[in-house]
Amino acid sequence: MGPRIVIVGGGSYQWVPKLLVDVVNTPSLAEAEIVLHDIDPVPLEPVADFVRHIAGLKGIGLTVSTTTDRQVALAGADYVVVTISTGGFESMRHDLEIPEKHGIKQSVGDSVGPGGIMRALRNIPVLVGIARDMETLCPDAWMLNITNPMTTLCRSVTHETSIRTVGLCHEIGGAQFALALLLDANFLDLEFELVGVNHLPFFTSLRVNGDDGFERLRALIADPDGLGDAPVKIPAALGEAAAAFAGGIRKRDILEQHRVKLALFERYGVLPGAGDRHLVEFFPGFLTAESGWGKRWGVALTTIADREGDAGAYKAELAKMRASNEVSTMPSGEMVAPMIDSFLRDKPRAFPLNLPNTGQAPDLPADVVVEAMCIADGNGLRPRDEVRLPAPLAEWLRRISAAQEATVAAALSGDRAKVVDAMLLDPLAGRIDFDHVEQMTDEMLAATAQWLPQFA
Amino acid sequence: MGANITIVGGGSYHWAPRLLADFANTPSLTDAHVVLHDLDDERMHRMQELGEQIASRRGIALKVESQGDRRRALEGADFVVTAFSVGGFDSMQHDIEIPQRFGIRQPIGDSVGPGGIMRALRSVPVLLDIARDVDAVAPDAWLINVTNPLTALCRSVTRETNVKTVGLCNEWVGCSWILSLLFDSGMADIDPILGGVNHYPLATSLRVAGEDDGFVRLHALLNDPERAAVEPIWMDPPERAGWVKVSPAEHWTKLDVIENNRVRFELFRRFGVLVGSGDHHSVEFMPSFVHTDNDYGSGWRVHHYGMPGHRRDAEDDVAFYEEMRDASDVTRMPSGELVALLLDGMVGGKEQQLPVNLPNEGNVTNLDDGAVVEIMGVADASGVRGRDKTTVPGIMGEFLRRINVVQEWTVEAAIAGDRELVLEAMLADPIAAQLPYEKIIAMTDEMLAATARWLPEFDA
Repeated sequence: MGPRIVIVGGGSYQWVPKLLVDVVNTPSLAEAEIVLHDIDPVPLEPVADFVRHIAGLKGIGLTVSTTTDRQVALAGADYVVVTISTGGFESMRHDLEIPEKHGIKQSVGDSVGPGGIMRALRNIPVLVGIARDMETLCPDAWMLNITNPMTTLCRSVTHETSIRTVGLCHEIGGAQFALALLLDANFLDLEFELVGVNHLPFFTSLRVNGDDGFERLRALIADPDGLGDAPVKIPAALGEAAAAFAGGIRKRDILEQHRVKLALFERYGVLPGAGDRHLVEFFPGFLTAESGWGKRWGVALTTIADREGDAGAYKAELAKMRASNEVSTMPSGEMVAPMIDSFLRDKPRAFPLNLPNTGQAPDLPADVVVEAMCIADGNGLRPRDEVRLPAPLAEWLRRISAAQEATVAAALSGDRAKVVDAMLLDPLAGRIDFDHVEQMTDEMLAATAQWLPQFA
Repeated sequence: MGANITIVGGGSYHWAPRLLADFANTPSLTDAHVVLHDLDDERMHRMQELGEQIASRRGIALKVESQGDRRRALEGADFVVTAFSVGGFDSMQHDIEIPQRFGIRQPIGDSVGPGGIMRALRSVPVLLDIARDVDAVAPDAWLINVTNPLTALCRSVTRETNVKTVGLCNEWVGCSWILSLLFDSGMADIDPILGGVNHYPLATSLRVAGEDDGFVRLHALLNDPERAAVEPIWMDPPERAGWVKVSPAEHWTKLDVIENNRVRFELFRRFGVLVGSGDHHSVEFMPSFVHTDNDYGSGWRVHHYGMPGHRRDAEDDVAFYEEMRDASDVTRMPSGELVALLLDGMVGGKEQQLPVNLPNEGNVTNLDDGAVVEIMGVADASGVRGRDKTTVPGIMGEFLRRINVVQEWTVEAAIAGDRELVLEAMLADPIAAQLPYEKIIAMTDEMLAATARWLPEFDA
């Protein structure tokens, strides 16, 4: 009998298919009992049908069930994966549109800034509610959170409940992939340390097959013209699809896509590990009207229309995969399945994970949730390294972290004044004048009131 | 035998007349031996003459001499007051005007922000030089610094030397006057617990005439504007305060006090912490009150000094000097500066309590020990020390922590003469950080270039 893995938000076309492809490709999870829970019954059946389909193709004993009753789902769970979005695009729209009226354009709006704060206010009560249910129904289960804003959500659960909680984000994987392409290295040959918060982690060291990866990166940046039109080499292991996708991409293109990251790397000697569109929300000096809202730095703003387009694509992708009689063996890059595998088989693996600070980030206060390399094995999770940042970035992280702590306090209290506090402390939201911060906050609270019962 | 007091910058039209008059009005200091030192020989002698007139008009033993050689001026000093400006208005105008071209308007520009950072870069090496001389020729003397930016300057001395250093500023005196108007009390009845930095001293509680409920009473008054609009105040505001009459009453009322200190009382109302400096100073620590989108704080009635204000102050200082020179007696009006009060405690031996800037010894728990903090101090024959221990709550505590980090980096940059550290201070400074990243870099470069002749440590 395999582990009971519950996916809250199990109707997610974006997340469930790729997570479950990973699961069916993981032998230790072949007998897993998958429970898909969602408050929306509509997508549950098509998603479950897909999971049955790939389990059938694999010929494994994995089972899948669906329920709209959270308590039924959580009873006896071993792992609870959370992928929710309270209010969906309908609420998210206000996260972007209202700040824009007050002079703040956000490139994503899902981690910090006015959008990140509001999203936290909506999701935190839900996440804490799930964790409270877990305390009675499956107190020893792990909560694996992949919902944004990850730092504040994980922090609210560890602050309020006894549930073991970890946040998993693929941004580091993305950065790792770009670095591998730039440095002609195998993805797995990169060794690094990192520290930060989610969507603002920093690589503080990088080794590539024994070489100093930062040195090699500096050489590339110093002479971008020397790269000419040199294309990236796609590792054969990634298969033809990846080769077709990445074919023709030049290293110069990759440098161009990471200009904010590289500007910070040149200044501080450590390399941010999230996409530039995330970084600029933490360093709003890059996200200003003068730079065309990041355009000059190569940053495009993700709109609700973009997200709606993505959602359509996820649905189409699922239909395509359902129609296929093969299961891709390509790992998704998400960490849920390999991490559970490490737990079950006591196979140590290192992952970039979001956990309470127990010393991995000495620049930040204890207990705040930080992103750093951790070891997963039969004993669970523990931070691997203790990593310090250059003083300016350490201070910047402390400011971000203080705003995140204020966000959690606001979400838990349902106190409007505390939301204003969080906005004032946040570097992006606090950039506009004092009165506008307050007006913007009130407008956002009013527009999304239906998803904010704690403020009623 | 009177106290030996050396005033570096003793030719200052602002400081010399005020300090000399205060000394004459302080019984324990009437027999002091004051040595004026200044780079400007003419002014120095002019102030010496004024000091001698003060002594003879009062018939006191106060002795005032001039000494152009700094080391000799410092020899035998018990107290060294430092009051100087490197580059004067010529340098200061770049502090104000260059940021203004980039879209930043600083009401004063003398404590933090781009102007405060640059002023620190110019003044820290000079003050350190003085402090090293003090260490050599008068190692037991107290250095009493009144030069801005006060926090960064005092910190540079305590960080680099063993000289006993205290910074004094009169901002809290202004706040205690404002509170005395609201509480119908004497200024001496106002007794706060302070935890902050200079020009951002934060009162976390308040005793009025011995009672602990100052904040409760203040909240009650702020919540009752109708009462505030009719209750008179015991003294009309001086014209130079530039207050706007808001309440309909014929006389000045408490509402006028509140409405002419809007930022101060807004912050108190929201965050329960009372900022002890004028709004024109405190908004440089919380610049969302002076923003392009709110006409740089006009709705908050933030008064922008700018260069005209600084120049007007200087003219007033000259007029004040001339008035003193031509008077037949010596004014008995205290200047409001705290130097004489502190000295009275240390020389006269009678305990005095006053706001001081000293290295943090657990007094302000939000900040590291060693950071220079503005707190209530006790001065007596054994010296001066912090009185209270406090924690600034909530976001005001975090803003304080943030600004102090910038101040620490400013001191580091000034000592090291390191342009990159200057830029780090600018990038982390709340005012400068209102600009786009690339503009912060451009502004910093321009400011360093424009004031290069006053920044010998930064020679490439």
